[in-house]
Amino acid sequence: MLVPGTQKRQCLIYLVIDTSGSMDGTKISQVNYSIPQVLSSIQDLNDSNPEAEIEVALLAFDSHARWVTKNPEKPEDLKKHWKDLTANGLTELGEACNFLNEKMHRTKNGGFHDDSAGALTAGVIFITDGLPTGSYKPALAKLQKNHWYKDAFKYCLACGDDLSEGMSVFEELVGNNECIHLISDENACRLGDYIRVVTAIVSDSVSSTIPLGETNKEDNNQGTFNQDAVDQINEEVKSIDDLIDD
Amino acid sequence: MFVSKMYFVTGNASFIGASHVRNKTVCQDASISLVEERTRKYALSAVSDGHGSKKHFRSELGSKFAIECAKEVAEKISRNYHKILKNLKKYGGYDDNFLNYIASQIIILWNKKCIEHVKNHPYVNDEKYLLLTDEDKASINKDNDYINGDINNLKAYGATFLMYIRFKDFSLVLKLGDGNVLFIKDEKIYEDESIIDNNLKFNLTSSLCSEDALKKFNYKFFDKENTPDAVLISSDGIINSFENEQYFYTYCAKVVDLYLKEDKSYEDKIKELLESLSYITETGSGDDCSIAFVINKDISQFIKEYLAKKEN
Repeated sequence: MLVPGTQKRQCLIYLVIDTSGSMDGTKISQVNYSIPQVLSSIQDLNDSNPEAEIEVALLAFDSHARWVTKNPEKPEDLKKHWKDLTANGLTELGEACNFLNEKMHRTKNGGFHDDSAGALTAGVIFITDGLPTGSYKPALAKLQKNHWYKDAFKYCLACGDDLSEGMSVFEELVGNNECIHLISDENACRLGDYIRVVTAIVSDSVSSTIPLGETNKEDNNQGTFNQDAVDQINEEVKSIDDLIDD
Repeated sequence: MFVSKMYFVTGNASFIGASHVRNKTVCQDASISLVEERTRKYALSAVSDGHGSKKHFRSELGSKFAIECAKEVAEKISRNYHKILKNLKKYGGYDDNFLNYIASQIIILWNKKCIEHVKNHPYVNDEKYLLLTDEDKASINKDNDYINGDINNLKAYGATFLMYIRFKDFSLVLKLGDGNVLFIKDEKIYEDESIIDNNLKFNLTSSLCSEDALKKFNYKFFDKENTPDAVLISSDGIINSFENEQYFYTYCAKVVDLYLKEDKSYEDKIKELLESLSYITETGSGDDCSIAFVINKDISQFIKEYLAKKEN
């Protein structure tokens, strides 16, 4: 019997990168340096995982948001045309939320997620260095109602010295305070390491087809997050912190 | 009362997931299909999908017990068939209490089987239990001292439940957790929204081991006139392997076509069904794949036309 139409389960990783003026210098260089490596490690994950295919959607935002990838791309394809990001402008997080909300739907509804029943939960990783400059709350409120976003594994890497007051914003964004890591300006030189670690663990976690069971916990937005994976990330990022402290 | 022998074609198969082979774990699905031998009074199909995570370390047994429950409940309905029929006629159709009662029976029986098993095989002696972290062990044993097998926490056995049973005068579907029920009736292939649990998403599912299992059951009752021509039930490993639901429907139509062929032996049909499941899991979800079905009308002509349209 011929069985047409089978495919691996799709899994999307959204990288949401702040390219505002304050990211200029070390931070954006670290981002640009790490992204091709991140793509290679996702490619390795795909090669070793016969059940799921991770694709990457990359959103940059400053005074405006823009999709670097017009559609989700296989890591090897994105790597081929990857161009370094430049940093300038404001931090319009609200527009980034609107862009995410528009595309976190099935393809039949104009979104990025394919129409198969087997599509896996997404990963959304925010990389930012400052507080939003515009009014982001209405856009975020809409995004928080989006089921794909609600159920995504969300993590925020925030780089900057004065971000403690931004914790509430980041917490609103990712749904809980365990999925945020603050990186001091002094440690910005290792931002690339943090990005690699977080992306690898989030990608591995969301592309796993093994039932998540009760490692899933409910977050403040009624979504869920995988506690085991968060613990693993926090352990790894702590070891990068310690390395810098030494 | 004389019950005429009915037209039934049934089949079922479970195939271990490609990822389970790679991870050296067992198949956690189980399935059954049968026609009551003596009188051919009813036909049954059932599928159960064990959750398979490390905390559900006995779910391959949970799914087997679920299938045994389906069989026993079908026999029980059969024994009380006339009484049930009388009540159905008296009340002008079924009521929710009837289906609720059957679901309760399934849960009670499943619990009984699991408790019996854990009494004879306490967790403390189980290698898979011993490999769990202390936190995971605590979550399994949280409310009681189940560990010695005195009483039982049944999370380790967690599994879904899908069952279709067809009698002469009515048929019914019971569904708990993920998986699909596909109906063929009046030259249409469709799923019924009323038994699709929209709260299930990604890897989350309702389970026989949940405290609120009874509330999570979905039912569908058909009287004689509305009974489908065929019903196919399947574990989510199958639909998760397809690009979209139309490919899944086509696959199910091909299975019906295969089983309605008169020039193939039963053994050849089983072999071909298993080969198709092997291909699906290898090129798709990697999960265990199970399908079970009851066809009670010769719909071969419609199926051939349906498949011909799809090929064009």
